Amino acid sequence: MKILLIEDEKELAKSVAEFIGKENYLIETAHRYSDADEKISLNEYDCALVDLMLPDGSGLDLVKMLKKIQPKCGIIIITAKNTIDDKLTGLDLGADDYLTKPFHLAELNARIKSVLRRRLFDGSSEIIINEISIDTEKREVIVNNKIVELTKREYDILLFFISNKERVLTKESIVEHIWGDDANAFDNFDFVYTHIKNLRKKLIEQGANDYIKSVYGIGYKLTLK
Amino acid sequence: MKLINKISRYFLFVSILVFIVISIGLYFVIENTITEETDEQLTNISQKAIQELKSGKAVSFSPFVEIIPVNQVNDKNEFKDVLIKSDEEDDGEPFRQLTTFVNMNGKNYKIIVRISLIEKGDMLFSILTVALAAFLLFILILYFTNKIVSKKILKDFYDTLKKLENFSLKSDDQLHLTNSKIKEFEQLNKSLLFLADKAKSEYRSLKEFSEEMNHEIQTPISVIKSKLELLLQSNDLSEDNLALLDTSLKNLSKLERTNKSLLLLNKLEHKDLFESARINLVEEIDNVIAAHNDFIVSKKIVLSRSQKNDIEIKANRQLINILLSNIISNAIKHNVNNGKIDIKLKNNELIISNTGQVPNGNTEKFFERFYKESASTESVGLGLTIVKKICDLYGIEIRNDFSDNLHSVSLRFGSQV
Repeated sequence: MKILLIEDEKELAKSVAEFIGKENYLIETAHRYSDADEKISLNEYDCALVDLMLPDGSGLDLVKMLKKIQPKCGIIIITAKNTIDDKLTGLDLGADDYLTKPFHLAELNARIKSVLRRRLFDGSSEIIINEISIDTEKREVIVNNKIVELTKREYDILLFFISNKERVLTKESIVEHIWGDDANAFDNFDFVYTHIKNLRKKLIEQGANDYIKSVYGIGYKLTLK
Repeated sequence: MKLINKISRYFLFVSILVFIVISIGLYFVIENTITEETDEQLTNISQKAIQELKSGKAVSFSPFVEIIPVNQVNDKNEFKDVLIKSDEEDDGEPFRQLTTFVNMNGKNYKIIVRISLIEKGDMLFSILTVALAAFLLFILILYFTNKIVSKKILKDFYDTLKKLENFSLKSDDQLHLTNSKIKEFEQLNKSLLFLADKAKSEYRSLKEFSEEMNHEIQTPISVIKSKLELLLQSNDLSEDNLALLDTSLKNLSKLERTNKSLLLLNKLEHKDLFESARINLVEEIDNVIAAHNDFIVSKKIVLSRSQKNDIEIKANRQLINILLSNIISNAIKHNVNNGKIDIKLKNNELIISNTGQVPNGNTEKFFERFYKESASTESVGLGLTIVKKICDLYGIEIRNDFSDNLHSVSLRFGSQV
């Protein structure tokens, strides 16, 4: 997989590259519009992360260009501006997803995977983690050939874990992923614990290993090791 | 009290004093003059009577001239005010009299001459009447003058006042004041225009500063957040390290939320154009409740809803979503365990009420920036301020009430229905 990361803030680009670099992607970074422009015309990418505000141009023009010469490339817009208009324009132009800064790296990672699944496998991709297999089109989880009946929330949490396996996920990033940005204004996240507890129970009941470990105080981690 | 009335009041008060002093003064001056005049006349008459007496005629004409032979002679001439009764029932008429003594041909006479003072009383009365009438006339003139003054002279002033009342720092309209021919008002207008310009430019730069800062702050927050999250992934962190990271991330997220809220508030205050759509309010409430369901369930809150009718409003979908989300999430946050939330929609009014603790402060304060009723550390205190601004934007009437342990927020949708 080849990913193009267009982000003018170098430190942020470094963090993103490091975080998603563990996924065996080939990541190329462009800090300026001109760099990105050149890279887009020279190489083919599977997914592009585009910051809308670049020092020498607008990311929206890059989105247009990508749509024109690399229609297969998935596009995720990243922006500091939380304006509704930009989001609409971006999505109208054909971007697959839209993420506002500051974001959780795990969230970006999950979005990239989701875009890649949709783009490359027409949504019918199957994710297999040892004895657990997930059909993301049907939203079905199968363990040892048996369907695990999960609620919508439980399924979404599981997919988020699997997209970010071997990584510590804070409770907060889980809450934001499932319930949205504003959910963090609440003080009590006990229900996250309940959902995860039920998810683990259902998977174990079907004979799966308990891959989801709680990380002291801070969150959880799905680990195969 | 109007300025002109206030001035008139002092003016009137001083005038009354002056009139009283003048009237009293006038009374004494006139009385004195009359008395002197009378006494002079009495002396003349008395001398004439003496001459007549010398020539042998004793003129006696009671009560004006009386010549009485006496034994003893007194050297002193005496002026005196007396009352003389013409008949028994009468109170007596006031007279001024001069008593003189003469010795003539060895005989002593006492000569009394008198002048009636009735005319003097009449005269004083007339004078006071005229003074009073003049005073009343003066008040009348003052009244009409005031009317004219406030209409003509103060017109420029009231004009300026009205324009100032409609002046807003937030609007782009400049302050326009009409020129005045009166120096003070012209000076006032000049100062006001200067002040308004200055306030506007300061306000604008402050606003720009806060907006820029909001934007600028986002990048470092993004960087810090990504670095902390990367750090979180390293395997050799102790529990203490994790706890430190957790606290840092939580507070960073709070900063992030505060900043986002301020950005939205800025935009709302800017009255940026938000794309409008027709929104079914019931559907929108359904969405918000669905999004908050886990929070409602985890607090064991009983939710009841009653919708008498459907209502469609024309507004920006995201803003209405924020409006409802903020109110409903407040109803959850400030609720008690096993509490209640009731959502009522009737005609064009939406009332969301919840059980909760009695607020300490004024419920109107809830709309103020960073106002926090409880010390709940997660809330920033901008939720209801945003709600209020969205309501202002769409002309939605909002009320915050607290009664019977129920806190309720009512929204009355007006023009956009």
